[in-house]
Amino acid sequence: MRDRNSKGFSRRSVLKGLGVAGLAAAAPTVYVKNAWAEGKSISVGTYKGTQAEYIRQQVIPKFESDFKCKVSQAEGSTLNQIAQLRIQKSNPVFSVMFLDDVGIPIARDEGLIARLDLSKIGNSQRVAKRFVMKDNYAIAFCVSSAAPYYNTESAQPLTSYAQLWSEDFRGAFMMSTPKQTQGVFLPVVAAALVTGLPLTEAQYQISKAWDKMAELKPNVQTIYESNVTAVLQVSQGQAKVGGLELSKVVLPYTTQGAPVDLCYPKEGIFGVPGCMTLVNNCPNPDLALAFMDRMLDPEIQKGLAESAYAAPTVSGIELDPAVAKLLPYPEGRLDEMKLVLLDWNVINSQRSDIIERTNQIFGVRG
Amino acid sequence: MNERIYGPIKQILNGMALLAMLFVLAPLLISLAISLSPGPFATFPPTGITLAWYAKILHSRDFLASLGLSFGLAMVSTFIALLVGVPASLAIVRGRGLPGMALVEALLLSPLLLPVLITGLSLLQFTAWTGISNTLVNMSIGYVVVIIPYIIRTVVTSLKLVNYSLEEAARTLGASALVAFMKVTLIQIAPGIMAGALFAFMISLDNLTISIWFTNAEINPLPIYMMKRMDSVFDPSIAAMSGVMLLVGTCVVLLLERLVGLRRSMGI
Amino acid sequence: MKPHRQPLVYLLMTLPGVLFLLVAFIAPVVVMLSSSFLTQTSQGIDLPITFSNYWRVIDTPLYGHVIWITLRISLYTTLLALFVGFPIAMVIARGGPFYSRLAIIIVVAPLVVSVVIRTYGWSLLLANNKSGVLNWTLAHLGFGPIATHLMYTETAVVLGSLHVFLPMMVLPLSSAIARVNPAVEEAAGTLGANGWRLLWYIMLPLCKPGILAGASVVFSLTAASFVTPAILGGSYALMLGNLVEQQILAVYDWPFGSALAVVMVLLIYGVNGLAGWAFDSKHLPRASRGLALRRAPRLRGSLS
Repeated sequence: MRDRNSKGFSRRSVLKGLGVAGLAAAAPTVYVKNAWAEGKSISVGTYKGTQAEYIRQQVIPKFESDFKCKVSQAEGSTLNQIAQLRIQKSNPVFSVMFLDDVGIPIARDEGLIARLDLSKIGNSQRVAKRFVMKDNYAIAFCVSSAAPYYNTESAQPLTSYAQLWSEDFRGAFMMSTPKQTQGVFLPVVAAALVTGLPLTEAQYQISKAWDKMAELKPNVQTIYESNVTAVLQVSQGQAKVGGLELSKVVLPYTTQGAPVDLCYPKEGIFGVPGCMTLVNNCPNPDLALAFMDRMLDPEIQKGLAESAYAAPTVSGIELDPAVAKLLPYPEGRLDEMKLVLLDWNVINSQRSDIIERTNQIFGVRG
Repeated sequence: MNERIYGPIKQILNGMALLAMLFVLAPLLISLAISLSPGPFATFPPTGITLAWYAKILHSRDFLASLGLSFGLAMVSTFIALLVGVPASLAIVRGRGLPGMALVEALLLSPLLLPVLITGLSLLQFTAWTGISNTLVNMSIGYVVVIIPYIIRTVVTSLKLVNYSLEEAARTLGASALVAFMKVTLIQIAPGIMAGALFAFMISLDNLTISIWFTNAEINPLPIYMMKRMDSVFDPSIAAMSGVMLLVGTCVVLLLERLVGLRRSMGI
Repeated sequence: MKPHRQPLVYLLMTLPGVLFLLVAFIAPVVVMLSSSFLTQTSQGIDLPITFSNYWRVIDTPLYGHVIWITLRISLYTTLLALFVGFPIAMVIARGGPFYSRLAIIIVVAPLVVSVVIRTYGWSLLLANNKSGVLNWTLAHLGFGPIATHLMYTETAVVLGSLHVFLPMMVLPLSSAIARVNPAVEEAAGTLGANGWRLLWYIMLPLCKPGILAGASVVFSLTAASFVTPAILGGSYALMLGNLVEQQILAVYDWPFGSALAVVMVLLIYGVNGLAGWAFDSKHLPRASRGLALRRAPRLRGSLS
């Protein structure tokens, strides 16, 4: 294992060496206490979008120079990241993997991730209890909300999900793919509308959602996979509404002045904890835990929240008031904003069915 | 086209060809226009002119690393494929009629018969089982599989045109087999090898379909890198990358035109 | 001319390539094809041998529909490529030196530009909003604010695929046209054939091998693509390639993904064989189905 990594390092130094060497040399402070990490490298699988950019530009370079190590970043969505872990199970490349809470039970049950030693993640002390998940197999570093979004020039915000089915949105709704976490919420919403149950109970009735989903078809312009592109397209008037989508994808546009914003329907919106996991038998697990600790550092937590609009999980962060009002933070506001957290054990078992049903309904135009 | 024979058809065909070329250029020119737009989103029409996005990507170590990685992988794969393919082509042409040679040729061309998507997929499953975990090795294997047939085909074609009696003559005059081959035949097939190598290089440089199955955090060949960026950023820097690639592409094509002549190297 | 002096040496020269492809291509493909008869469990791919994956393809209306869409998109793309490619090929093979050189540069240069980027360009061009280039242009010509909704349709996929695969039609076509002896055209002209008749009765039949080769490549590559339909087609233009990718990378059902891959290969071979047979039996015996198949991806098999 060690051998492979040192080989990997020399290979990369040929490719990217200049940049790394430059950074290491330029680092003014020498952290003697981190000498154990010198020359090691880890791969981190992060989310996509603005948050990934923040990590790429603000977190990794500093971490690399503090620990004199190398961090490679790969962006992906939860199911794709799990597919990678499965393929590499016998010989893992990744050390840290970001997964939505949906992915944690799957990854744990298949032995893809290992239990976290919280004593090596000092900052985990400040993380609210409900965000240390599944018996220490994952620790959340951010909470996004998932909600519909709309073009503020051509539409009014949805006050109820039922409006999505209205004739005003013929061919004007861009739906997120059920291959991604945020795409699973719409069937839950449909089930809630059919059964009249609140979202938390409707999640157990997804099988009743499909007729209602089929009724949505005239409104669906497409099902998208590229979240960033879809939000841009809605902001340009390609469609009037989209979703459900994570706040961390939509809000960066809103604050940059694009005419797009989240809706807060009366039925409530969903919460999606973004978690960090340690890959089973991964290279350099200690460095991986150190990286997780860094992600929970109050300064990073503040920066992540303010640039990518996902709530911190660490308590006691002073957020910019303009950002704070958009986020379910501090923790108590989760309930105040009616953020629904789903029971993934139930949904995971139906996941491939949800994907196939969606294909069947929407894969045929007409 | 002969004006006298084709008459008014000539104008119609020329007009259609012109429209078709416009069709080919349109999406490229539009990315180019947007790459110069200073606004924060990739939207049309451009709001002004700036080179800031080019500066941004040319200072991005990830973009440069991907570019370098793709060039490196393409060069290594092309080199290996030449090493394997040129002797094999020679054997195919000179040993035609030998028992088994037809089968060998069919086997060496067989990767052409399967969609690359499926070749990559089966390789991924295969490496998962064999346990070769070095992504660079796996990707190169995939590239070499895909490009070997192209090398074989172009080299075999040019070998068939070689006048073998010249090499015979050299042998008669006392040159060793190797020297005679190098000094007589190799020189004649050099343009064919070159054209094959350039195609192989171009195929490897933009091989999304093989790479997508093997990519990981550290190894992001250019097409994968660009696809990931499309998912993460909404500013015109993607368009600027296409500008850079278009420039590289035009240079390669002009070079090819100067060196061998495009029509000749495309077999026209 | 073809000396067989050292048969052993010749076989040895092919040995590295043969071994390499046996191990890195034939074996994996066989493994993958056979895994389509197995079942995915949470522990991996396992026995018993079953036809259930294929039965699922046949039994679920969705998959029949996707096969039909794949076929339709690939056929339209191939026909359009022929229609759009022929004039360019004429210019390349028969045009003046400047025009012909310009044409081939314009056809070949985009080959070097990533398919990702070209598809990105199309998504900017076709966007269903006021900043889509096509809509923007039409709006300025007075056609109303958002005149077209081409993005996320089969049409968008056909246009995108046409753009990516056009060179695969133009190149064999130009080389076929270039091989037609100009004296034939001259003779036909002297005998009083006008331009249309010359094209239709002389040039097209003589170029049939080139047309078949180009059509075969364009069809095969389009039917196996997944990048262009994913970006330009969205949910209403799902192609087999997208389903394969989805099964492997999101659903993680290798056997079913493999079964879909096998269906894709059968579709491509079936249509190629059928086309070869159809054209074989009529006019030109040499433009055989063997040619259509053997000359499959001629230039670049790699374009998604």
